Amino acid sequence: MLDNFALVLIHGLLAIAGWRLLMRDELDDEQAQPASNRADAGPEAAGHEAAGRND
Amino acid sequence: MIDLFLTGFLAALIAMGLRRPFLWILAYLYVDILAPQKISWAILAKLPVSLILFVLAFLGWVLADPKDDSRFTMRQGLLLALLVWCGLTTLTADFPVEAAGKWSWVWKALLFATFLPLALRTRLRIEAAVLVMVLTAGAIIISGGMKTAMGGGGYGVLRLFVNDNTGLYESSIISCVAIAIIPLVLWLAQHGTVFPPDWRVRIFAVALSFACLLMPVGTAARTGLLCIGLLAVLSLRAVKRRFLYLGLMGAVAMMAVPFLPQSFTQRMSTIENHKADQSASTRIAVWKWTLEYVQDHPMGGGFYAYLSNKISYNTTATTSTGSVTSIESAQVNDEARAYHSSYFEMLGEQGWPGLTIWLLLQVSGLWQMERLRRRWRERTAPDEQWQAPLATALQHAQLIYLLGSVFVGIAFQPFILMLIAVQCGLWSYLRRVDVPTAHHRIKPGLRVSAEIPWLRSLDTRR
Repeated sequence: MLDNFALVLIHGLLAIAGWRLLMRDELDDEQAQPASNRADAGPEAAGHEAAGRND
Repeated sequence: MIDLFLTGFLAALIAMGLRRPFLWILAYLYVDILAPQKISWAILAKLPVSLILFVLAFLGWVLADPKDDSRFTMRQGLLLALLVWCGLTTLTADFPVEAAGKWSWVWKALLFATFLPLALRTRLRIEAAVLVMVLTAGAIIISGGMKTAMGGGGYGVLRLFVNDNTGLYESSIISCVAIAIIPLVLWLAQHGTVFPPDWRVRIFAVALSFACLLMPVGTAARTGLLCIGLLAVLSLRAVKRRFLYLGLMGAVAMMAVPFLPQSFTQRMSTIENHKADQSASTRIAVWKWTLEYVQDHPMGGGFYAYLSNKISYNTTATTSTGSVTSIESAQVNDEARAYHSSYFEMLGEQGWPGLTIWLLLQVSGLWQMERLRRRWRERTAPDEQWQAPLATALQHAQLIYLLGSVFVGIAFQPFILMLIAVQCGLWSYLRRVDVPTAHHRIKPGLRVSAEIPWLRSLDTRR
């Protein structure tokens, strides 16, 4: 029972970690911006964001 | 059911690796630490899971990963030299059949440790490797910690997922590794980006650290107690209010003693009265034998060279009843006793050259991590906060391992070799990305180095 609890807990966390890593481009390429920073990455992106706000 | 669960998990991990092959490397770390093929009794048990992932990890890197940022460092050279040397001693081993058995997993662990830093070329990869190592070892530790908390511990009694005393499932090894990873758990809780710090992460980190501390209690491995002591001393470097910390530590220790199981306190008391303890006396006798052995065999006797030892020693037990103290002496004859020390394991099996390479590998790691710590600790930029603490955590983990190694033969423990590989990866990565700027040279932190000539030479080298 305790074994199963530990196994399920850790495998759940490992699965979440694997999924999150899969979604992050910085895993393979450091130059890739994280999704949260992408909005303010450059003038073009900032422009898009501003346009989105005006809409 | 658990069989299907583990198989499904591994299949999903392998499938995810099709998009990002680095996940295959993480999957190999997971398989090598947890050995799910041993927990499972059906599907996974019938497949050469470790070999499949070993090949996938290499192939994924060779075929799909850019190599521009990969560097081959001096310590990887040492790992390779150790691999070659171990291969040579295996060819001339005293016990060729047994030596070939140990060689079959040692070469894989050494080769993987040499390879891993080449793939650790981004910050996220370094963090992911640490995370997978900690979580996977955490599965064994959480299970063991909970059983201990419910009173299921005892020397040679605590049952982990696998009951065959290999890898991390050996009681002394898991209690040493459990304590060694605590600094890494705390680093992940503070600087992790896969699981960013929040209240859930903090609760999990505290619970996991507590389970780690329970492992030496549950396994009643005396080595673990010494490792906890060293961890407490090392933590003094990191805390700001040292006297408060010391007071708290003392209070916690005092409060914990009444709750410790009797089997644990009895066994720990033999650290003090080691002359009466057969296990401790055997160690000393085997170490003496090893020193004599290498006088005739300076190049070592290959893996399992200890099988030829025949030792004889006396144990002295002192018991006091009222005002009468009686001393009982007994002679014990023994043979084929293992080294119970990584240092003597290296000396006896790999001779002076092997021990020298291994020690160089260890000492250079401590030195490199110290250098990184000093280089990064005073920096103030938001993205420059994780480096020094990680170097410190890796250094502390290694120091705890080196203390545990005095009493446990874990010179080639794959988990520790992975830890060394992460050190190499961090060293290589930070040297590559740390482009010196005028801003850094005049930072107040480097004034410290200006006062110490040898540090100044390190800082201006780049």
